[in-house]
Amino acid sequence: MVLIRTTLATLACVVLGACLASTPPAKLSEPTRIAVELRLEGPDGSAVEAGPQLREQLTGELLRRNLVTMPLSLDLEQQRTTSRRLEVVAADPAADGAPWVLLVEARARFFSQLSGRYRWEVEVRSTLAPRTALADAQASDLAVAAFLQYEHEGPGDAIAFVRRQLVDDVLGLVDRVVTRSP
Amino acid sequence: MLVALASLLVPVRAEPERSRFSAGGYLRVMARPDFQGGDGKLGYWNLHGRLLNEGPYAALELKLDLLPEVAGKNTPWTSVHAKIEGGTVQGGTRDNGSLANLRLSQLYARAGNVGLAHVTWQIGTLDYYFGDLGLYDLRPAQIFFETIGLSARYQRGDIDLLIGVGDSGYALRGEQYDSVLTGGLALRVKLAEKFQIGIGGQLLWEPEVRGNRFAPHTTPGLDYEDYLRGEVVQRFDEQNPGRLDDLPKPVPQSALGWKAIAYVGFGAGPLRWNNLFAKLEHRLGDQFVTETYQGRDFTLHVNDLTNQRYALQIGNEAQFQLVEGRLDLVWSLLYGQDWDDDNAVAPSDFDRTYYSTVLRLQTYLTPELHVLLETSLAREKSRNGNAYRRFGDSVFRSTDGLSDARGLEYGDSDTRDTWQLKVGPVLSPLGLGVYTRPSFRLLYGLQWSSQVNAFGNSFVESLDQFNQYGAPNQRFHHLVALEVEAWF
Repeated sequence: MVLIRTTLATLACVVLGACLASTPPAKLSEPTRIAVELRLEGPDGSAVEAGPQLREQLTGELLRRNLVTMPLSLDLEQQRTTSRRLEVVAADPAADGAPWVLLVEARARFFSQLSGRYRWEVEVRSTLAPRTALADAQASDLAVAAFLQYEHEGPGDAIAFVRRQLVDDVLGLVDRVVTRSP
Repeated sequence: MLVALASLLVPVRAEPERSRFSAGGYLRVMARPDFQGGDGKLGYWNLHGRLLNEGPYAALELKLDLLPEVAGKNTPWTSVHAKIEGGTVQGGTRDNGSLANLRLSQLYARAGNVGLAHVTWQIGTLDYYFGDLGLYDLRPAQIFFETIGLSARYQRGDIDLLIGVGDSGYALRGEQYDSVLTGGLALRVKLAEKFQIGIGGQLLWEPEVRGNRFAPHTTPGLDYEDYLRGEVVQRFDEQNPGRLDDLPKPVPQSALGWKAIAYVGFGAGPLRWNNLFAKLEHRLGDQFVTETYQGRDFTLHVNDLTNQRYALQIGNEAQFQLVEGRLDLVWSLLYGQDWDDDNAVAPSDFDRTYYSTVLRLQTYLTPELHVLLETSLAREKSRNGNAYRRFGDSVFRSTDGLSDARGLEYGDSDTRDTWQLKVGPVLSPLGLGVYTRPSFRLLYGLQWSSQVNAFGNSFVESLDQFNQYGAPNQRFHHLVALEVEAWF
């Protein structure tokens, strides 16, 4: 009986704890446009796809901050430096009218087969700048591991696996620079 | 002008700073108080699913890029890896976290773009497997687990070919080391986007070395039943009174073992992926046993009595997405058969057949709060007589089901049937997925088995202990577990 009561009490705590609502993010007073480019790469630097959820999740979270995403679709294959890529993003006609530009670069590399999983390392650099003042760019770096279950899954799957951490890191940068929340 | 100036101020890199050192690992740790006399595991082993049947475990893998791989360039690169692992933790195991039970399970260096394009060289431990059965934590299609040596892995397009050679002597023989030359290969081919197959195998050769007492030998004239009872020398003395010094001398010989593996993987529609693995293995024989008779130790080499052991194992695991974002299902099947052509008199783990199925459903109440339900059904059947006890007061040693103090059988049944159920909430900070980790679990487990007290316990193991303590008749086993599992 004691075991059952203890189990039920713990279960209730777990369920209630999991239902806690997160603190709403600081929000800009009026809708503001932001040009966003995601550059996702495999170990050899070639572009990979990580599914639509990453973009959808990022766009949705930016919108909660009153930041309206202007998605770009650029070919950054030839630009090999962050600074040059940021210039291309800022100069793209589709970014006209956006006071902010956001460049997210992610690269996935295979680490090893680890205890039944395929461990990948994903390195992310997020760079945020006023479109007309790239010298004021702020950056955030993140290195995080992805654990894939199957051999056929590749770098795109690894980036998709860590999208939550990736989005959280980008939003942290946005909150510090744009919405000025702690 | 402003843009040019800005480009000088912004970091001139296209990728984030990358450390040459990285570390990854795995852990699972749990509290599972057991009020039925068990050791905190629901059943005996992974045949019923790994969940609640495995103890704590930790692994840490370290990697240092001595010469990092440069993206897009075919320049040489090299890295060193080390993996430390073991199933021990303070407060969670009998050894209370003793570091003596951790081991350096892997140590190797890799190099690429050296000599041959698209080839990765590896020297050190060579462990390789096509994948694993996640619900069982088993890797049927695995080679070079015991091997230290050199491998070359060619990866290009749809072809993945590994060839290796080395020595498995220390892993197989330990303190009684003897060289076991090992060679093998594994080939994986992607036939379509979601369809791939693999085959492979390894040969183990333990050569005859005259004078090396740890090399394969056989003592002539050994009877299997006498060997099992530890009465070989006694029988010899009875038949040859006063001539113990004339016990036959061991004869050196070579030994051969092998393993063949196969794999098929595919996915389509709601079937996210299906892995089918198989292995057929011929094990190397044992080295020797020691019998003490009349105060003297006699070494008996038993290679010929133990070198006809074979194992077949086939496992399948299918992962389904039943309702996107709401319900996932994983279903596994496992079949195994072990047979020992030398042994026709006693049950053992080398003479058995087992079947099992495990089904796991995971539903997502929120992205972070899941509910897990898993059930398993398994049958184990001894191929050489009784091996299980169905009642607390049933026989220990037996022959043909009858109590016999010199019987080589155990208990009163040759079959063990087991059913398990596990259910509980799972907290998953990283969101959806049956295998998303870390996961924090509160699980209730229930087992029914045809064997009495079918879980690790400290109950009686012999008749004299039974007379002292008695034994409960427990077919059901309940367990509550608080546990966490993570890869990092």
